[in-house]
Amino acid sequence: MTALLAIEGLQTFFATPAGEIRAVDGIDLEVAAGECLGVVGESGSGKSMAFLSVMGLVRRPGRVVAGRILLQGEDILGLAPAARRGLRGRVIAMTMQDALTALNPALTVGEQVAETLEAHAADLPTGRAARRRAVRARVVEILGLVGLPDAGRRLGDYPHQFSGGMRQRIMIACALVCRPRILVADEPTTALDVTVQAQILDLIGDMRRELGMAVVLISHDLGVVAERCERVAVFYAGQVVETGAVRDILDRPAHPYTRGLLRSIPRLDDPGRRIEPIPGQLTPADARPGRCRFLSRCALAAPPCRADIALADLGRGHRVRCVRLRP
Amino acid sequence: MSESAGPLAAATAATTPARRHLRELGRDGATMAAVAVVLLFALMALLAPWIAPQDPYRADFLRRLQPPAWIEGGSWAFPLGCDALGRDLLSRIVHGARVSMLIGLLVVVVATSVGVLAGLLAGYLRGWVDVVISRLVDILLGFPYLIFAIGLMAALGPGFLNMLVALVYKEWVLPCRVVRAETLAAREQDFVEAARALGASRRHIMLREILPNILSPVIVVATFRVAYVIIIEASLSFLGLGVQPPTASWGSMIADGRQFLLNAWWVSTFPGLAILALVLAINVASQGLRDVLDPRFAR
Repeated sequence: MTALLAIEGLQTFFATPAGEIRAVDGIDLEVAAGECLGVVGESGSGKSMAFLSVMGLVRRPGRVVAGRILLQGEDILGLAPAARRGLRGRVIAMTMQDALTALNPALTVGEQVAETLEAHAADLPTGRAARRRAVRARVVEILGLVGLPDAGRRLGDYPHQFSGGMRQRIMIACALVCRPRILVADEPTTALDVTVQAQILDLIGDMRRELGMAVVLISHDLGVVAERCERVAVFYAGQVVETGAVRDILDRPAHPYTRGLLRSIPRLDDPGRRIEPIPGQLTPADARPGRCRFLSRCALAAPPCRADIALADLGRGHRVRCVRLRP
Repeated sequence: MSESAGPLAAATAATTPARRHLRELGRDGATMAAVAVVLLFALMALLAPWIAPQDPYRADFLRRLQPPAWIEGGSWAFPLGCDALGRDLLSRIVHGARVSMLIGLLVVVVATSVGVLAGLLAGYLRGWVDVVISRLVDILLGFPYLIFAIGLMAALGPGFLNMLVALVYKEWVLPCRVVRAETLAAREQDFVEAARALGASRRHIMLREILPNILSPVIVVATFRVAYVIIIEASLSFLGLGVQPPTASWGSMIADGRQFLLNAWWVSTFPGLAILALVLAINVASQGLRDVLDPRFAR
């Protein structure tokens, strides 16, 4: 089976006056059609930047320096900018972290959802009136699908007239109106109230089933990912440190960082347990090659960790980047 | 559903931003008075041939330098008196409003369009486009406005169209600077990134995503500049480089009267007052507009 999206050896570096920052340093990932992949990691771990690289949205001084990105079997890194733009929103769409600022305050929501459609106008009828009717019909349809009550009457409203949860729904409608094969949802619940978060995640799940698309759910919350995804990739300092099926990762975490993440989540079934934070913090200096990226915060650090660590396969697609923890 | 629109959203849904701004403007007395004066001048310019009491071009040497009506020797048929050729001053001022308003509006509209496009390109594309446009702006800003316009008019020759060109030549610089600065800030906004992530083209992002968000300062600058352009036009016409006689222009009317200032003060004074009134009104009105559109500067 060829994956819908395959990332091979992706490296995205930022040239700064202080030296090169390896935001993404050798990522290998696959997303199969229709599956839900969770991407977890803390701020600065490179999870957003990896998928901005896939989208072709890395801004200077950042640059994709190496790797291949195969979308439906075709290497898109070699495509002309216009061709890549044609893929965005049509084949692969991405929603940004903050729904409250990601909608244009000066445009009505109807206009904004229609924009994606207009950018990829392939299957719209010609002729002005027919076209306007078709666009409107599809905008109303998708807004209804994402659960905007009374969508037909609210097309002319501006984003500030909607609640945060509704704005996130509108964002998702913008991303889905062209029925992409993959939706990359970058922290879709970060800016929202806890009560609304579950609704938005449910919506993304519903849309995935409804439209038969794959979802990449980027989050810093392992709990969210564990609940919603089939597979997980744990990012740390620009690398995937552990990846595999959700069950395997939850039951047999094989990387000290993943274990730390699991121990730092409060659990309802074991309320007496202490929450153990991971000591230290992620710094750009951790992304140096020639050593384990987690070295400075790892309790198990030892001499063999001072070398480039390869992903080792533990079977059933469970892979880990650690030489100390081997079952 | 907990997140459905409340009654507040329903209440505000009926008012567009434009309507809200208009209502705010209406509350400001000085602004409303200024707007009324500007509208009066606009109406005057529009209806000049029908409301002017006399033919502005008909010379009558018997009425040479006839004083205003309320002074000994004046007549209410020529309320503000006559110039050195015996032409009715009021009628010439009414017709002169056409030149001032038309030049002011045309120059600012054309220059703002050019400036907005150049500013968007420079601010959004950056790179060599930005370097070229910004250096050109710096160079043009280095010349004093009037000197520059005089030089261009001397090169092009006088006339309405040439004046338009000469003024636009430098006038686009200011809106360009404003738009470039605003674009630099706007391009970093999340909604621009979000639009890019969904396949929006560069043209689309510049014109549909960024432009609507930076329109307020552009409108404010444009209204202020109308007043300034009117003064420059008057200055050029005063120097004989503007619209050509016998077309009535406030600047050339002031010039016509300056040799009679001691014995016929009205020839220069009334067109001067017209300029003063219109420019003042435009400035006060745009100040009010700025307070509404750009709350950062509110008094």
